[in-house]
Order: sequence, then C-alpha cells, then structure tokens
Amino acid sequence: MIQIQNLHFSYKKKKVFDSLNLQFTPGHVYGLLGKNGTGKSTLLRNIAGLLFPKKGSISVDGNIPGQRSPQFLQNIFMVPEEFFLPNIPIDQFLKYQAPFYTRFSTEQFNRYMKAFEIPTDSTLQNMSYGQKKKVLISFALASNAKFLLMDEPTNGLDIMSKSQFRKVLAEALDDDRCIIISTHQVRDLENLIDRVTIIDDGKILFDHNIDEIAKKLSFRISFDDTETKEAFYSESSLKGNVIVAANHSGDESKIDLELLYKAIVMNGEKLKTAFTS
Amino acid sequence: MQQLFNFQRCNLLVAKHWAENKKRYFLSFAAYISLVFVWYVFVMMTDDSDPLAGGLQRITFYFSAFFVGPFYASQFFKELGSKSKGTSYLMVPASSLEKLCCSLLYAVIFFPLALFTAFYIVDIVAVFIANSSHTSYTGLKDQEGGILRAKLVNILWSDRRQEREVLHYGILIFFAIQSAALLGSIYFAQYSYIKTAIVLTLLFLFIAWFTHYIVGNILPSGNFHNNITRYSVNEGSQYKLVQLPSWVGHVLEVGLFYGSTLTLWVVSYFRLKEKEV
Repeated sequence: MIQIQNLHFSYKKKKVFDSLNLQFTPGHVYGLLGKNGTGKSTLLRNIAGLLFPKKGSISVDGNIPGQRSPQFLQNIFMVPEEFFLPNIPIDQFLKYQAPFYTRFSTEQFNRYMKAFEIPTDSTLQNMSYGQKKKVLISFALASNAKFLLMDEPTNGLDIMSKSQFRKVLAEALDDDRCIIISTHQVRDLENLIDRVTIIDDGKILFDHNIDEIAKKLSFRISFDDTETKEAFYSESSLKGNVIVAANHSGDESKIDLELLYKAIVMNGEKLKTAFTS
Repeated sequence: MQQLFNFQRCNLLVAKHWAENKKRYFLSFAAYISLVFVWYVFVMMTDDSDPLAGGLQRITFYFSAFFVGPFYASQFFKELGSKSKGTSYLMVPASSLEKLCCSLLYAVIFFPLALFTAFYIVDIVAVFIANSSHTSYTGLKDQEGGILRAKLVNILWSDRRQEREVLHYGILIFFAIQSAALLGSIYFAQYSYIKTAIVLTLLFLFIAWFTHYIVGNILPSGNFHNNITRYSVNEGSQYKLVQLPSWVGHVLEVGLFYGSTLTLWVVSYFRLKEKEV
C-alpha cells in the first residue's frame, strides 16, 4: 500500500503540494488526472523516490521511497513520460536488466512483446519512440513489480498500439498489484481504471472509484433544457446535449472520463454534492 | 546489510555498465591509441635528437592520465543531469553504495589499466618504428660510443629516488583527482568537467594563498625545508631548523593523499544518495 500523509513539495519557490493526503491500495488501477503542471508527474516521482518531500511522509509497503533501497526499487517500476533505453539489442537489455528484478518473467515479457508486435531480436537503437515505449511497458509489466507508475504511457503510441496497451495492461492486472497511471488522454484509460483521482493545484479535487461514479452520476444525451441546466456539466453535440448529471434512476451508464474530468474541473463543488448525498 | 551492499548486484551493475558502454569504450580506446601514435610520429618528424626519450614518454602518459582520466570520470554520472537517463539510472534496483563502487571500479581501477594498456600498445610500436627508421637511433652514437636506442620507459618506476617519490605522489594525486571528477559529475548537472576543473583550481589557489600568506604571517621569518614538517627559521645571519616529529609528517601525508580520496568517496556516496531528478 502507498500511503501519502501531509505531503508538502515545492520546486524552489513554486509550491506544488501543500498537505496532500492520499492512499493507493493493491488490486486497483488508478487514473491520475489533472491539468498540465498540477503535480501529477511530481507525485509519481515522489512515490518513486526520485524527488523527496519537503515535509510529510510517503510509505510504500513500509519503505521510505527516498531511501531508494534495492528492496523498494525491486517492488516499484516507473514508466516515465521521457524515458531512456540503452542502444543495445533487446536480448542484451534483458540479460543485464532483468536479473535486478527477482520476480521478472521472460515468458511474460515475450508474451507482451508479441501482443505489441515487436520482434524480440531487434535492437533498441533502430526502434521508434513508440516501439521503445512498448518495450519498456512490456519490461515493466514482466518485472512483476508490485507498484507500477506510468506517466503518460499512451503518449507516442498509435491507435492500434493504444488498444494493445489496454489489452496488455488488463492481462497484467492482479490483486497484489497497484497501477497508477497519470495521463491527459483520459479516453485511453476507459474500461481500464477502477479509481479516478483528479489533482488540481496540488490538491485532490476528486477521488472515487468507478463503481461509485457509475452509481452516483449519469452520462447521457439529453434533449430536455431543464435537465441540461441542472446537469453538473453539459456540452452540445450533433446528437443533442451530452450531460453529466446526478443519477436518480439507479441505472448505471457508461462513464465518459473526459466528460467527468470536464465536469469536475468546471463544476467540481456542485458535483461533489452527488457523492455526499 | 543485504540492502546496503551485495556482491551479486554490484557485479550485475558492472556487467550492465559494460554492456551499455562497451562500444563507446572500444572506440575511445582506439581513438586514444591513434592520437598518441600521431603525436609520436609528429615528435619523430620534428625532433632529430632522441625524440622518444624517457621524459617524453612519461609526460605523454601522465598528461593523458591527468587530463583524459578526469574527463572520463566526469562523464560517469553525466546521466544524472538528464531527467530520462537519471530516472533510468536511479531506478535500477541497487543501492547507492553499489552504484558508487561500480563507478569507482571503472574510474579508479579499469580506466588506469586501460590507459596503461593503450599507452604501451602504441609505445611499443613507436619505439620499434623509431629504432628501425629514425636517424638518431639508427646512426648516431651515444656517450659511450654505442648507437643510441629508443627504450620503453617504465612509467611506474624510476631508478632515481626523487623521481620515484614524484611518481608515488603523482599516482595518489591521480586517484584523488579521479575521485573529485566523479563527485563533480554527481554534483554538477552540466559541464561537470569544466566546473570541477575550476573548483579544483580555485581550491589549489586557496591552499597556496593560505600556506603562503596566512601560515607565513604566523610563523617567524624563514621557509619550509624539503617538506612541511621542517622549517628553517632565519635569525639574522643564523638559521635554526625546527623539525616536527616524523609521525606528524606521516599523518599529514596519509590525511592529504589518502584521506582526501576517501573523503571524496564518502561525499560522493551521500550526494548520490540524496540526488533528485
């Protein structure tokens, strides 16, 4: 479990987090959403031990990330937005990188690489950014690290690869693993995440699981002006008004993460009432 | 203890570094041999009398050691200056001590060995070529009436006691400078070679100033005799030699030449541990 308590973090004079409290538990895929510069990547880097809190504490399964102990690093894998892979053949990369991860599975790695349609006999030097990213994602999943942090994992992936990514990630889920995905491209995470955490201005704006959201909110097209006015968020489309409203009927609709995100950013306080009632 | 240092992990780090950098190292090795060979050919073309004298060979080696060595060492942690490479490096499941040991192994042990090998490869060839074709070695007589021959020089040993002392201290200073360059590469995100060179120069100037002006003003009129434990006091026309116990000299020597290197390693360890990217 990742426990963040009273986290304060700043870059020189720019304050990012001011008393942030958050918890991530195994068995879930968390979608970390937010505008640019709200601290999503900073939060992941704090959890990974690449940045140190100015105040407060982070605990990852009892380990302090900042200590970067080998045991902690074996249990956590970060796929950063800007990543680096050495210019060596994939088999060499595996030979020298995989032994650091005691639970690494070559069989799993080959399976993910096959799903991503990347030949395992290629050299990283000759690969495109997207292909390299797929190698890194395959490695991350095959490392069987308990905590997987992904910063904009679908950036640079083409449409087919995004769908492969969702498939591969869904396959890699289990009850012991905690996956945190930070992204702007919320549609890429649909049907994948089971908890949505939205950060804004260094604070948690919204943190609820998908089941709860589906029970409390309704995402639908409406032609009724009163309903549209009362909705937490609405936008016109060719089919009518797309709205995010309180779910009074009890019927669960398909969650549109992009609409949910817009609703929270535009009308967060009002939307919260749906979850408190 | 397993979390602080583990031989297996350290070996893995050494192997990983080699796998990722061997191409660069082989190219640098070849480039060094070529450059020194060109230098020797240039000297043979421009100097008609004993161009490959022992002094020139020694200067060539020590110039390489003191300029190329720190340059190599200052590149070791260069990746910490880049967010992507720094993340990849710091997230490798190994402790800071293991990472530092790996860097010391390459910068303080493997580099001198490689330099030694490369130097002698080109030196042997150059001496052979000089003795086969250079006019000063094929025609002229030496002082005893024999033909002057270019000889391979032992760069780590000399028959003269004073030269041996210089070599001994030279090697110790080399290790200290290599260690300082390693620390500089952790400390400075960019231009670490230049910045470390500036810091070392300023430090040297400060010590020289301190010794000359501060210590000079405290001590009575006179000067140091041979080393800093012997001071000759100038009293009019008479001189008095004040000598500190010999152990003071030994302690100062150990402290200065061995202690400074060890201190730099300890500081490097803590800097690496506290590094944020």
